[in-house]
Amino acid sequence: MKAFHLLLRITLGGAMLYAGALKALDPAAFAASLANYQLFPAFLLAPLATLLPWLELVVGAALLTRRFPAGAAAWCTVLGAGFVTALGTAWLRGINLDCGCFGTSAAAGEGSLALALARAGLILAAAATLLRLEMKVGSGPGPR
Amino acid sequence: MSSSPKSVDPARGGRRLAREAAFLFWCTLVPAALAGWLHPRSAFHAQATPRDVTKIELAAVQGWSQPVLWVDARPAPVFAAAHIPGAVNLTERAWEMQLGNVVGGWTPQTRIVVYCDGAGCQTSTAVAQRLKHDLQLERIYVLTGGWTAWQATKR
Repeated sequence: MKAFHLLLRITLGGAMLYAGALKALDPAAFAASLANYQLFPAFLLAPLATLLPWLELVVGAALLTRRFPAGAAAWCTVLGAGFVTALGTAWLRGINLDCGCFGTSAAAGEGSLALALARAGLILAAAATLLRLEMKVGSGPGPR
Repeated sequence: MSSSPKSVDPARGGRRLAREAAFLFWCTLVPAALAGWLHPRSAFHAQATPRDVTKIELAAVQGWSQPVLWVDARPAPVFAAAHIPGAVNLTERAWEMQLGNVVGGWTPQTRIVVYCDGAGCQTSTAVAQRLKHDLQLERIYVLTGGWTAWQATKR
């Protein structure tokens, strides 16, 4: 179980660092991607595009170094749930996230959207499992 | 009565989780604020750029006597499937790789018209604004209705 716990932590930490770094390098492009979801009001796009990559980076670093692991696993779960919700609603509304448009370009967008949704679902499941494990470890008997 | 060594305290775990999550959030604020302020590609700077890209109807473009360079802001596979004849592909995702397409097709008389899928997409505006910012060009327009409007005239 310890090896599984370690594997989850390293995998999720690495994934968060990678995803955060890609977005942090070009926040303006990430804001444009967020706009394509047609979920957020315009005034929230820049703050979200600036904050989310750094949250992913901090959470990723915390997971890899095992600092504040319960909090990091909780954020990981929240972010995973956020990705699944955003991608899921985009799918249901028929939005092609590559261009933020409805319908006509779905042939190219649908495959990658399904893949992204599956990946987000996997991250959410892994994060929720890690959170459970961290809570089990953390809420054990305290120092005597 | 003392608890057994194997007992767990969910309340203690919950408090720890909340404390750690709050601390991590606070740790995020400082670098995020610095990035928002100093990053050359900050989302705040992009938003503050004057949105002076003019929207143009297809009929107006077809009436121009000057050469038009069509810029397709849709993803490469969609562009490859079909596009306005003579259009070049330029997306934010592959900007550096594709920018040469635009530069190669541009002359001082050229007017650039960017389009994406339809009325709901915003990538054409983003691409047009970035083109205007990066190349310091004046005559850049966004096609109202995008590819859908173009296709409607072909039916």
